[in-house]
Amino acid sequence: MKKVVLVVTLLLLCAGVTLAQVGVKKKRPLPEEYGRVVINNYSEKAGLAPVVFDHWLHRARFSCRLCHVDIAFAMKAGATSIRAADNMRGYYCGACHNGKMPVEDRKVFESCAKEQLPKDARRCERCHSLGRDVKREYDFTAFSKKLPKERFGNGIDWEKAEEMGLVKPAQFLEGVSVKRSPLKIQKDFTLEARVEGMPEIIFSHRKHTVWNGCELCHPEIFFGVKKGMTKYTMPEIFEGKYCGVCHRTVAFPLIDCQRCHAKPVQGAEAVPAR
Amino acid sequence: MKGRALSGSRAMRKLAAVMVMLGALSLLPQWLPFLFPEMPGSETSPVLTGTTFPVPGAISAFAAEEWEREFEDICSQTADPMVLSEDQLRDLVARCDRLKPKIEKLGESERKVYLKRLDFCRGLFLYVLESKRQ
Repeated sequence: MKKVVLVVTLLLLCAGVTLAQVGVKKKRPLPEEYGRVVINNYSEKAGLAPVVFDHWLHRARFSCRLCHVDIAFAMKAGATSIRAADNMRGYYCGACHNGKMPVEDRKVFESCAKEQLPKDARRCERCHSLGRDVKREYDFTAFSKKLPKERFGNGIDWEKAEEMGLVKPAQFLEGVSVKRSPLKIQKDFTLEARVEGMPEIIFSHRKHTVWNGCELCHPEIFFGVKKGMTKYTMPEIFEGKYCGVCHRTVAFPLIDCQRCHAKPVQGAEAVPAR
Repeated sequence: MKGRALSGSRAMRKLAAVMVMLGALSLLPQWLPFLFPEMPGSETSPVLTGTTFPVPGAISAFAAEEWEREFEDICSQTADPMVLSEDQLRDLVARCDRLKPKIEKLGESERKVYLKRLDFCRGLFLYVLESKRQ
């Protein structure tokens, strides 16, 4: 008996060591699931299913700055600690989901209510839907059909989609956003790759400024004030620092190397195509 | 005796009526923007109307506008902070610091949202100030 216990313990130890070295392969999310956020700060405590938030649907309509600066949604899931009372007072989800804001040919549905009446159940389930068999109002396949394609993430080239006028993210929400003068367009710049032979990074400062403004990135995500002073490393980025804050969760993922490492190495000979 | 008792209750009724009128008058400044929305200075944002609806003890709409105006004035300058001088940036940071305690006195939801937003603005001004120094 003692031998069996010993063998089993040894086997478990070996398995543990092996897994610690190679890790467990993470399943890549489906395009419609990429960027999906589950919020469960208070839902289950209130007897409701956790909220399932489709980031793709909202990013098609609103700029990053509008939601994450003006409405003040945190950049990390669950970090905002949204309460139903906040929504009912017109903050967070309630800033738009107030039953008044027009969207296409109708009014956006109202988020949260003091009491959950049976007639409201369907409305509640539009957000509080984790683990429920809820048919989502917007179908991702139909939505993304006409949009330019990308390989990873949501499978949509959002930048191109905006250039083509297929999506128009709003920058201003009346009664919420601060009236600002137009943003100064920043120039793109290159960053040297640390690995020899790796193409240099072209950082699209212009695009990032248009969508994020300045304050969403500086100083919270990028705190270095002098260009080239902060040494960014891929492991840190994969851990969710710097570019990884968005490009690991909602924006095109880090495995799409060429999107950033886009500048040919200087002096490198072009390889003729066969 | 009966007549005196009657006149006593009449006096009480009058006193009650006067108190109700005084109460209503004290709430009038809060009601004005809702009664006369076209009146100058009555512009209340959709967010504010939801949170400062005139209930006794609630923060007055006028007082709320004062901090909100200051907030808007400060944070509207985040569009191009690089054009601001070091003195201007320092002044903006100081204004953020002066505004913070006022926002901390607001209701839970407003406090949470506006403190975060103010933090964004203050952080950016400090960041640009630091980059200018270097």
